[in-house]
Amino acid sequence: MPQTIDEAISILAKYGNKAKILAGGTDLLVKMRQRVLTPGCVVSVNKIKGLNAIDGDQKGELRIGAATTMRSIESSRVVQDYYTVLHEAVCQIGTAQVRNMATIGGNLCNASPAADTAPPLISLGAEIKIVSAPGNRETTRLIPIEGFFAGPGKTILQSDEMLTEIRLKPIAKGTGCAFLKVGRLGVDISKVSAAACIRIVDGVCKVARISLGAVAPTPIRAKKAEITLEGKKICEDIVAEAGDAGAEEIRPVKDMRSTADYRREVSKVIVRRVIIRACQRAGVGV
Amino acid sequence: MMAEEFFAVGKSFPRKDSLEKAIGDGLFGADIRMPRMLVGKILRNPYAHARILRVHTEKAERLPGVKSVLTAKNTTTRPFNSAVYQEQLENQRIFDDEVRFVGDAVAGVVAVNEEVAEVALGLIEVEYKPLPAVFDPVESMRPGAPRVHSTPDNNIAAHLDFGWGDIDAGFKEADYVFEDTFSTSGQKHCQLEPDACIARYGLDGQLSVWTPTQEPHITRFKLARLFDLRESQVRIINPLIGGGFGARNALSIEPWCVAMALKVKGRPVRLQYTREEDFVTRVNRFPMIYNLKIGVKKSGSLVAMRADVVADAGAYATHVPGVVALSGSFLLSRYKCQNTKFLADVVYTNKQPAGAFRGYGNPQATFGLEVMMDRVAEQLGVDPVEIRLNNHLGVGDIGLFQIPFSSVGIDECLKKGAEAIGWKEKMSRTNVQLTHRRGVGVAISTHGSGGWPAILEHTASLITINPDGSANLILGSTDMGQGCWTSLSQIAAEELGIRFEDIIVIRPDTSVSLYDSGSHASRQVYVAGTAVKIAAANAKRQLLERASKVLSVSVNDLEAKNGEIYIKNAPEKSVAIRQLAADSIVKMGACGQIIGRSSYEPKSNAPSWQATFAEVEVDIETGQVKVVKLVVAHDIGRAINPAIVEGQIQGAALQGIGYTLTEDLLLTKDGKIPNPNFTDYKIPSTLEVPDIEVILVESNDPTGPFGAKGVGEQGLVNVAPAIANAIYSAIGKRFKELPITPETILRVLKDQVIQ
Amino acid sequence: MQTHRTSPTTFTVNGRTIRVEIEPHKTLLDVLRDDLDLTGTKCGCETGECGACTVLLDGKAVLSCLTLAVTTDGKNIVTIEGLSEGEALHPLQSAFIEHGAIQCGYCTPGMILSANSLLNDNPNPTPEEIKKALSGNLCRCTGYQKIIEAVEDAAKRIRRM
Repeated sequence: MPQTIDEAISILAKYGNKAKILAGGTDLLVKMRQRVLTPGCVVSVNKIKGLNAIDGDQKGELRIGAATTMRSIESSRVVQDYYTVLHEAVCQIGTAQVRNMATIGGNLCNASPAADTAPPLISLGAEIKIVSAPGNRETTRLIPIEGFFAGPGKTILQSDEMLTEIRLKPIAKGTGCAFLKVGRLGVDISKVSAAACIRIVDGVCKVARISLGAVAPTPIRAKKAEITLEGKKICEDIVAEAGDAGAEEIRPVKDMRSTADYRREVSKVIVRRVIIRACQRAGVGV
Repeated sequence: MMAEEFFAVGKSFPRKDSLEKAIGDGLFGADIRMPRMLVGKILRNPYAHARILRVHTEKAERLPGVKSVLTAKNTTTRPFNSAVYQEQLENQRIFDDEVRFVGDAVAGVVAVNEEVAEVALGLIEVEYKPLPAVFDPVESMRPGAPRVHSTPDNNIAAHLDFGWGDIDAGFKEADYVFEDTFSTSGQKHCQLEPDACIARYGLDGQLSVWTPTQEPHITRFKLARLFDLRESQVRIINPLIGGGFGARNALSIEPWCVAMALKVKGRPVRLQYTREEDFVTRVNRFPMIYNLKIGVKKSGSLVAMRADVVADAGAYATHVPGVVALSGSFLLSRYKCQNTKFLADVVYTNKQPAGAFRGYGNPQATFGLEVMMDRVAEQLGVDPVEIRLNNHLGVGDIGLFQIPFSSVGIDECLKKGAEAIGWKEKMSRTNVQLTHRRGVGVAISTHGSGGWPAILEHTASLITINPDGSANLILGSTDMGQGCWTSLSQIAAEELGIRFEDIIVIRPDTSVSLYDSGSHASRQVYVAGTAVKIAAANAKRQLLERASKVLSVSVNDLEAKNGEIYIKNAPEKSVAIRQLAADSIVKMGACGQIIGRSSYEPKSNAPSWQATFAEVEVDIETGQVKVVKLVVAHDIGRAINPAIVEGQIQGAALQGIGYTLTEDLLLTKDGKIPNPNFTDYKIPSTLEVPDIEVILVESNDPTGPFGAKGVGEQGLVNVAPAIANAIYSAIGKRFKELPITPETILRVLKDQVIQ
Repeated sequence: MQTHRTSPTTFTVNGRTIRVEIEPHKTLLDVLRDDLDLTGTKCGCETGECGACTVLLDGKAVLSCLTLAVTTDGKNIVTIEGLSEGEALHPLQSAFIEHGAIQCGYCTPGMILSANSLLNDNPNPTPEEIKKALSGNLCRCTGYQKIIEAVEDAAKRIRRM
């Protein structure tokens, strides 16, 4: 149980692919129980100081430590008031017990295509900090969150790298954000999820960042939907068009939870609805 | 008798076993610790169908800490049927030379702890010869289909054919004929406690088994038979049980646990299933495909009803022929109809066996029937509540099991339920413009209180009075959470005149308890309750005789209440039961211990009736269904403990919601279950709880104890069609397959748009 | 037979501080039930889905089946056995009993502890808030209605105390 990031990285470097990071354990332990993963070494990051803190504010930069629990994010006033889209998603992740244990870093690194923290972070334009130790010299880099996911269950992290922080920039005036998900029952992995941050000035959409989850190998930006909206006056028709456009970029699969057809149909609906809600929060009714 | 005159019956007393459960003190199977206890584990097969050529156990046997490795070579290969009464179709073995579904048992290990047992399992090498497998029951009946068992060669475990009248004439007479095909999926019990059993075979030849079985005495009989022991050598004890719902009716995990115990004489062996094992290997509610045809006159009466059924039994017969027969009985015993026919094929497939599950065939049959009745109502321009009021069987009519109904409270259920849900207003509401559309639906059902005369119904009961005036109620009845220990105590208390708090339940242990045929068929209050009442009356008689001597009056002048026996006309003259009991045990020259006894077989069955009203909201853009409100009006006869009755109905309603909307046991093309967990087999959580109102209608049945009838199962029976009918009311689409998922709903809505 | 190196782990369980040598792969559920004989905490699924294994870890409801015991070093654990004080039941326990919120009882310890965690944070929850807090505790017997009523009642009693 390393006490610092340095220590953790050294252990990761030493054990390579045999090591797995333990944060909340809600994904790792399930996979170990099911023998999907059999790590030779489990590295707990729960004693590393500062890794589970929320620092900064909505004016400058908000820094969320990778080992911050969903519960802490849920209780954070700053997140609730200023980064509502992330708060909305986190409140719906798992159950109360899971949220007490699971961490935002764990959710991202587990890299399920349905990870619920991803669409809000993508639509917020979040950046993440990665610490690595090539040749035992520690380096850090900051990348946009969209670049983090490589495929279902895969991130761009090397075996001796660690996600340490999520950084959120201040949200521009006139921006409204929202998150929606569709599952089977109340507590569920998403069949389809969507987040939108829409900046509106004088009734015209200046910036749209829309993201979808569970409908492609990774969480994705719905760029076509964004282009449909940007520069246009917000109205029912354009929002519906954006919804349809959003569904064009997805590559949904059939799995135990749902069918590709259903995901395709419902993506249109969810993108449209999440845009409407975001616009409402930006002060523009649709 | 008026309810107000009872002091024990009709009260929502807290349950006898709630305290120990609330403080974590009560012991379930997995909590029991014994000295020198060993751990068992089962090796399971990965093929849907295979012959076992050889099992190499040497490496496992040599592993330090392994006490025994079991295979078909060193374990009894006597065939058995796990079901409660099913002795005919015995084709399951503890270990066989053929495996018939993914997860079927191949070998077993007994070791000093779980870790060693797991490693040992990994060291057992099995040579399999995969065989062709069949998963679809319709395919399975076709000539040339792979044989699941050596006989029968058409994979049909049973063919059922019953009914009355002239079915062809009936349809000719009909003004309208309705025909539809319905299908239901395999539902898992998902009781929270995975099976856990401890067995110990002593050097004295005594086999003790701590098991969650719902039928201790029948399990004792079956295990004795399976292992060639005398029944008196076998002792079955129920620890606390974490849910049953039919999963433990009668044998579940015991055969394997006992086989293991026999190998390590003198040492207890604990066998526990993981949740995954429970999902993969334990029984389900049989999936049913059926063609239902109803003939109706313009006047609205039914003249013909016919069902052609294919029932999927899975790899072993267990209960299924019986459940399917009951399915037909329940189907045909609801509405007046002169001509009926029920034809069913119960078919083997290479999948997990089906078995007994709350409702016992009634939910499957009721789904189709009650959806179709709504079609009938629509065609005839009659309100769905009206059509049911007009057509249901009534008091004196021949009904379930061909016996006349002694009480039928469904009219009151329908009327009160309709009012509670706001039926008239909601049925006339139109919400075609909305994205979220609401609708209401109704369904009725009837379900037996016990299984007389179709199955053995027998409960024997003993009541003894302790020197402090309390009473021991010696029960063979399993309480798996349905609360019968409490309800039966209330019946005993009321009859004896002793306070409820002073009734002590002696829990099921076949070395002490008298025979009880089990906790199934919603029989405990109705049948065991009567047995308890008789034993209590018997004990009370003995008390009254003693009291009459003490108070110098005739027995007929006496009454008992709250631990006192008093003279009816002069209640200040009384004697404490405590005193009489003490005297009966230690007063020299006057001893005569008070022993109340009964051995009761009913000569009646009083089915209860239920009307369920559902209000749903359908999101027409996503197909999601929310059950907004449920009103369940249940003709209970008399609620011995209203809170328990409500709890049964509420719990069953949520199971019904899961059955209708989300629960689906999937299957890959290799016969594997890809969702053997709660992540992907979704059962309702608190977020799915609707606004639920329970209305108890007390029709006061003349044959039930204090007028009571059964309730254990029926809460679930008609929830699916009530929801399906509500969905129709909301979006104008009828669904005939369960579960009704958003994917299905959206596809149907989209097809409509395209057309 | 495989032996694993153990780690000395010190934690407080139900008010008692104890030190146990724990193998790294053991879950908190294993240790509570097998090493400490606290069998009130139940195992329902082993994959964190049913909530039967819920205990309080530093006051928060967590799934003990997904918690490696060695990571609880220095922490405060409360199991169902630690909720009542001697013969005095916790208001949640009394309310569950009185409202008929316990049927088979297997989900009950986890359910009560989750409710306790909720009431510690939110002493006056709405039914919706109760449902959300308990959504991680599956019950197959009760249909949840009486559980929700019991928690509401317990909340009232606690507020009056």
